[in-house]
Amino acid sequence: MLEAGYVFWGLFLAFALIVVLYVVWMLRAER
Amino acid sequence: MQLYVFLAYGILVFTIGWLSLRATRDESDYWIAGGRLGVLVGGATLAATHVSAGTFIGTIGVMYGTGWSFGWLVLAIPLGYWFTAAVLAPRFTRVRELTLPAFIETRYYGRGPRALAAVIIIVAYVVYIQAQIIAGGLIANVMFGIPPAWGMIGFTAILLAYTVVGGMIAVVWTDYFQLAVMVLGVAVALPIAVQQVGGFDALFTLVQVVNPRTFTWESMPPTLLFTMGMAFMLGSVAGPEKLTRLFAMKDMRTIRRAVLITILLVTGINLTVFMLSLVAVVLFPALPTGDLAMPMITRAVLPPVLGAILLAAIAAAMMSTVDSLLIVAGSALSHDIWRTLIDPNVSARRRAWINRAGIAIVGTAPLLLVLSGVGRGELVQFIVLLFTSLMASSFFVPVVFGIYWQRATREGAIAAMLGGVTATFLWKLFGAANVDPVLPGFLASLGLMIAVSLVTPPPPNAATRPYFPNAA
Repeated sequence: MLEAGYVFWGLFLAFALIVVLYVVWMLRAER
Repeated sequence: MQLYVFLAYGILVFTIGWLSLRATRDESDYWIAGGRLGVLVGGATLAATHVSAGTFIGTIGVMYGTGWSFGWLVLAIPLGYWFTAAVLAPRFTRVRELTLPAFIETRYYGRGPRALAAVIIIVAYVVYIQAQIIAGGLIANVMFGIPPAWGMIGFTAILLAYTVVGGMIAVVWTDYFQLAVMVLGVAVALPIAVQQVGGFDALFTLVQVVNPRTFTWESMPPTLLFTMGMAFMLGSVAGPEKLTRLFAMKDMRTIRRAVLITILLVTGINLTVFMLSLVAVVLFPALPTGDLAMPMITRAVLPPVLGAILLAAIAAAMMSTVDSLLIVAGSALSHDIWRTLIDPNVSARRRAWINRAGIAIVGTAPLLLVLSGVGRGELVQFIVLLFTSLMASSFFVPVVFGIYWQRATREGAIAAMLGGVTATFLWKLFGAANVDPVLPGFLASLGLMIAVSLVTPPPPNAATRPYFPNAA
């Protein structure tokens, strides 16, 4: 059994990371 | 009161349709908004098209039943959109076509593949629109207390009114407006719903007491989770209603930025829906079907006015998806089949009428089918998932191989589309339930594309040159 709060906010952290990676990729693509 | 709001809403979207008609000068305006969409409208229309009644009724229902393991699947969507922006769009948009079947004809040098793609689109979209219309009937029933059949007729009439009149320009601008309603709906619903259970900490504690399996992997087989994630990812890329929007946007820079907006909105709305599903687990632990989770929240958790806003958000999600499907299916019927195969020498004036008739037909057919009793009682999410898998296994391979593998041939594309569709259906009917049909469908499509292309004569240079300008 996993600790619910960590798992839950982990989902949001993962999403935030994906968004950051996308923005980095986008800015590099336009340089 | 609510009925007046709804009428005002109908008048507003019809006005948008009318204004769009005045901005529509030719077919490119009608089908792809002239290819002039900017970042905000482009991103909003992509997001509004993606988020459907399936998200607000079906996805929350599955999350209610299975918990966070399904919640993680949401992250497959941004990966799919990144693939679209980074890998697919730069080559796919080199020739600005009006429809996906038109791309198929250009790249695969034949009307056969184009007609096949158009037929697949029409059949799949009519079924998919049916599911959304059924959901619309339920929403109208909850909102106004009118019989679902009248709700379905009302929604179809409004949708057809602005889509037939204004084409893609009307669709993208109403999408923009409907997306705002969706964001408002979930944004007001979430804090109040979480408040009802006593905040986030209490929510997590209570969820684990009520349903201890919510935060485990046990509620769904890992093979099913993985393959469903694959369906979400490939479907986010290969849905013709999404691919057409790439032609509608101004340039690559616009596409990259618009996709960022889409990722933020679609994933954000899905994660909010996930939180609402946890609230439903705590407050209504024994619902007979997960599809009731959202209606229960709108009725029993939120104050009437906010509940109405959330219901309007669901209606907006439904309409902004169906209008885009109408454009794609209507263009497949009138532009790809009628105009290309049956009556190529028609005058420009009559073309405009044929285009509108196409949308009217594909919009009326699902309603008539539902009213005559076909397809009733199917779970909304079931149809949405099957549709996503079907699009992924029929169009992903022909599109991606078409722009990255010069050797891909017409025969290979036909085999990939037919094989993908067949394998998806066969697996759905007879295959193991713990693997989503997208896996066999995609593999069949991939294998047939490669094998058949290699044993048939290579494509003529004229067909591949736009996509491989540097090749000999």
